[in-house]
Amino acid sequence: MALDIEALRAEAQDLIKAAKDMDCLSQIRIRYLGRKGELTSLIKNIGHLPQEERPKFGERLNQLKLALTREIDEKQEAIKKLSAKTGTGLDLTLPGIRPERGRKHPLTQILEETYHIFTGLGFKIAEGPEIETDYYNFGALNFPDDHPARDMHDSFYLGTDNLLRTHTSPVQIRVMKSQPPPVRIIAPGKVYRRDADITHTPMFHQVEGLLVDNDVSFSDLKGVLTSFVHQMFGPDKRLRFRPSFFPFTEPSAEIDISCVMCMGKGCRVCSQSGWLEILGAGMVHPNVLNEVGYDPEQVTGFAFGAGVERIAMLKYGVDDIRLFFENDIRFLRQF
Amino acid sequence: MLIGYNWLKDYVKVPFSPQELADRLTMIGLEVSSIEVFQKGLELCKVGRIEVISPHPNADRLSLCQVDVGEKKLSIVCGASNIKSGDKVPVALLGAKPPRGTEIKKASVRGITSEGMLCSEWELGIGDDHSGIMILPEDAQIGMDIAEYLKVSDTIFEIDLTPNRADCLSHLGIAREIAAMTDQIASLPEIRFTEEGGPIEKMIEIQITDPSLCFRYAARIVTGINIAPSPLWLSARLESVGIRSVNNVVDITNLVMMETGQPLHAFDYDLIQGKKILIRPAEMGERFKTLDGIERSLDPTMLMIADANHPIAVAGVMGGMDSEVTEKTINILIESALFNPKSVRKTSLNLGLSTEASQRFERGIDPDGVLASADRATQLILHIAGGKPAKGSIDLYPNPIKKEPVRLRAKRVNGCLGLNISSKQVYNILKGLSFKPLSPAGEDMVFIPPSFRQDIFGEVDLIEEVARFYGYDNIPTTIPSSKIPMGDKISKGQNLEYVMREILVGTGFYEVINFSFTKKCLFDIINLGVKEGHCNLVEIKNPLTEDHDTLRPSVIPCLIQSLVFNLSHQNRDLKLFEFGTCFLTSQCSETGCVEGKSLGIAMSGLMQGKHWRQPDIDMDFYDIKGQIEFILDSIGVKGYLFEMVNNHGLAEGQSLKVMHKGRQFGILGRLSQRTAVYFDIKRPVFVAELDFDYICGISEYGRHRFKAIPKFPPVLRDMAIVVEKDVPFQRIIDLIREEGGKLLEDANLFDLYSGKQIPDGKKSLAFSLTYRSSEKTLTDKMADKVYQRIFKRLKSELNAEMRVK
Repeated sequence: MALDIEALRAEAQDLIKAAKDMDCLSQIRIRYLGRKGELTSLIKNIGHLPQEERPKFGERLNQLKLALTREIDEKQEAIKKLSAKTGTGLDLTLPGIRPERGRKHPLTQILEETYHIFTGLGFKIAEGPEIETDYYNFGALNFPDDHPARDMHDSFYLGTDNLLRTHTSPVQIRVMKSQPPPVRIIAPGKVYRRDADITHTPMFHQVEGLLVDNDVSFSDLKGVLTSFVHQMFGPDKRLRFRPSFFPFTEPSAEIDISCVMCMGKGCRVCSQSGWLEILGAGMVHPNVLNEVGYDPEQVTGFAFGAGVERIAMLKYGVDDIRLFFENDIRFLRQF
Repeated sequence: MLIGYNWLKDYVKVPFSPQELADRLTMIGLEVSSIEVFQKGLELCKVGRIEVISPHPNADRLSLCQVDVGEKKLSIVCGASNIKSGDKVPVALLGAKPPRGTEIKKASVRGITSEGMLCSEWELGIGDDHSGIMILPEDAQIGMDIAEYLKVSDTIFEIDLTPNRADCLSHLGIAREIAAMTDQIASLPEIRFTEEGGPIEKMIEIQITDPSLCFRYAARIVTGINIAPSPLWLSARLESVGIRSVNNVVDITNLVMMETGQPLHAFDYDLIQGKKILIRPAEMGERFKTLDGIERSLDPTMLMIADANHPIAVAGVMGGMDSEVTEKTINILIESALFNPKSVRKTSLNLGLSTEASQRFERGIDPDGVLASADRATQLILHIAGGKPAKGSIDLYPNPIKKEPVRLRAKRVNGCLGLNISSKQVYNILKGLSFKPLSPAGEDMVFIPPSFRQDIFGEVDLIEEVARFYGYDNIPTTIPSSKIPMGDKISKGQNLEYVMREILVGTGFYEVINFSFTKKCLFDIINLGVKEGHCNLVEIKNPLTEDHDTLRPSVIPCLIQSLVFNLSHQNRDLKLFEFGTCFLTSQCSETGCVEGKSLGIAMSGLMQGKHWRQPDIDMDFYDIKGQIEFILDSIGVKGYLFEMVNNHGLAEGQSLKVMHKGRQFGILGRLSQRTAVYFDIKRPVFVAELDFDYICGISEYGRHRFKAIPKFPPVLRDMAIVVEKDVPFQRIIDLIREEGGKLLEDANLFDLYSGKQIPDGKKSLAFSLTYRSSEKTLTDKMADKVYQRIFKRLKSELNAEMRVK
């Protein structure tokens, strides 16, 4: 019998909650509280109970009756208030007037998040020109003279010696040449390469970082990048540092994170490997330190770089890089 | 670079599964990007056993076999007569595509279903015999892949090599790395053969004209060989790493290249004229037909191999048709050389011809492996194609390359990597990688790099080797203890950009990002460039397309394109902005260009999205003007003015420039008809551009000074006047302010009207005026006095009249 009461209560409350109009409510009232209603019939049945259970059961029934009566009354009021003819004459079901807001570009959002993370780690945001000389873009960064990136085929040239920067690394050189160590900077910005397909656009964004001081080590690089990845992609992401090659760092590393789509199990996005390449990094090459007038015996440093589009694509699940530059409102609105 | 897992086992023990090996290689910097099984087209071909053989009920010449292929039993119709029950045979399962023949499908042969095919050697591509089914020996294991049984299957790794690791462009190179991680030594199989022929010096004379272009040149001669198709294992090996099989000799030279990384070339000895080889630059205009059948014109930047009369190969790139090894060849000369990498690169670039050989020479090969590779090839040729090797070999090596010793301090290793490992451990890692120690393990060590490593120059290169084999994953993760430099982490400009974005987004604008380049002709249509003193566009020498040939001096054209893109996709009410770098030429900069940041705005459609409460209001000129005023006011730009401007991109009479201290730093207005037509826009579009760098200089954002809140109450008055229609608002408000003086705190236009009740040619303006004194409570009388004064001034100067209600 006790179970009956609870079941009845739950059933009645669900119905009341779902009721949309007065008709519906009055039917509920009749069904439970009417003279032949379900609650009423339970009360009538009280005589079948053993003598000692009757008072308790009776009281519970009474409470339920009061509760349902109250809830039906309240709902009735609510329905009344919402219907058009209220005291104030307002139709409260009309949609509210919302202020309109725009959106920052998703790449800006990633960049701002990146600034937030790195300024918190003591990095300053440095900027540099997008038109660079061969020296700052390649020479000072220990690129050999015949490196393929120096080719007309891979980079946009404006004159024999001037080109659109192919990475934001020249900012490292400019900053180091302008000040003594310690240096802690990130250099965000647009970069340009002669490439156009589903995964490449001729312009894209990079964030580079540089930390130079006494006693900076590869383990510090691991610490800083782990912190970045955990803040950007979540602390559940695993990182993998594996050896790689860049002219301006040594030892160099590529950094993979466990796949954001399949959590490392292997899927189409990570080519079944469970890993996604997300950063390039390494210890600043002594030739670069010498080039800017720092003494590699006194200071060491690390540098890293990441593609902003790549981060955004992985973080938001965007599958075509070109969407970032089409500027379709229906795309921008999603972020 | 493709590497065969089984192939590696010729040089080193591989105690790892393919997947494990791939992971380990990746973690020492040899990134395995894919793993694929190679079966030489023999996928789904298995060893089967014929259990029962019975005649086909409907055909005399066919029989019906019950075949056990391990996981199941198949019923197969066969036409061959050489089989009996109990025979083990190759079975092509459904879906198989044997090298010769078509895909196997379930078929009904004279009313009986056949679930596969028994194969002959011919169908499997391993022989020419198709007279009967290939009978396999008794010990063949039922269900085994035929490719595996024939030892032609392998697991192939695709390795994305970084450009520094030329030494790993070979199986031996990868084997060395495996050896280093498993404490072994990788080596070629033993090379041994008897030199039965005559002395090689009598057979050929070789001369290097410029030792700076060809460092080493070795050769061997083998006579009396038998050119034939390669045996199965050899062609399978080459195919497994993507090289087409040609004939036994050519295949062996390619095999050795994939084995040791040393490109080899075999010449038909009898076609070398004058029995003389000269390594020399090409002569201007010399012509030469390379092995690919293309006749090429040469110039002196290209290094050639020539005989007494003419070139016979492009050094390090490709051989020539005239000395090619063919089925008629009997005697061969095997060339193994070391050419100057830069020379090969230049030659390859100028010829537009890149080959497996040239790529290896360009990246650097092992100088010490040159002769060994020629010997290895000779050994294999004797084994496979027969013949007699000439006695001795030619080995011209005028200036032997010596590796410089490299110093390594254990302290630097630990300092650079953040480790604390012993010098002994460092010593052992490098020794395992074939670095020759010149000193015992200790604080200060010296090593000679192995000859095959072209990427080791200094201490840091050794540190990287230690890191690779210590394992990046084993290096701890620490937080830098270095000092954090003083000063703001974000500059004023960066902060202002952030604030302006917040303001724009808060007022309903969407940020767009366009490429910095666009097509030049757009700027003939509209150019709102607001940088002063520069005028020429910056053009890209090698644009990808004509649409991207010019760096933009203004963000507006691109912004209009974004707008057009959206309009064409039924996105109607648009408010867009972009922060972008703009470029112009300049005499006074290092690169001949100046760049600066601009803020561009473009808007069109309804000011607010359609809504039930208010009627639709189309944007107009005052919306873009108000937006600019709002932004500038919000970021503390003071003292700016608007002035009329003529810009052919904007509509006449609907455009303004924004000035500060006599300098233009912005422009705004409605697109001109011509511009709109060019972009095919049917509705009004309003744009603005501001020089962000200039704004940064004058913005007082954040520099607020507190002013005491007024102690005394204001007096409020409305004033409605009627003036000639062409009197500008600015004139009126200036007069009101001037005459109102200190007591007039604020004057706000709240109504503008012309039409009924107002005489033709006139307009009515209503202002709400706020009077306040900072010294005392103003009385109505005092306020009225000012009111009257203002009106009098308006009347006398503008002929204004009080509007009668």
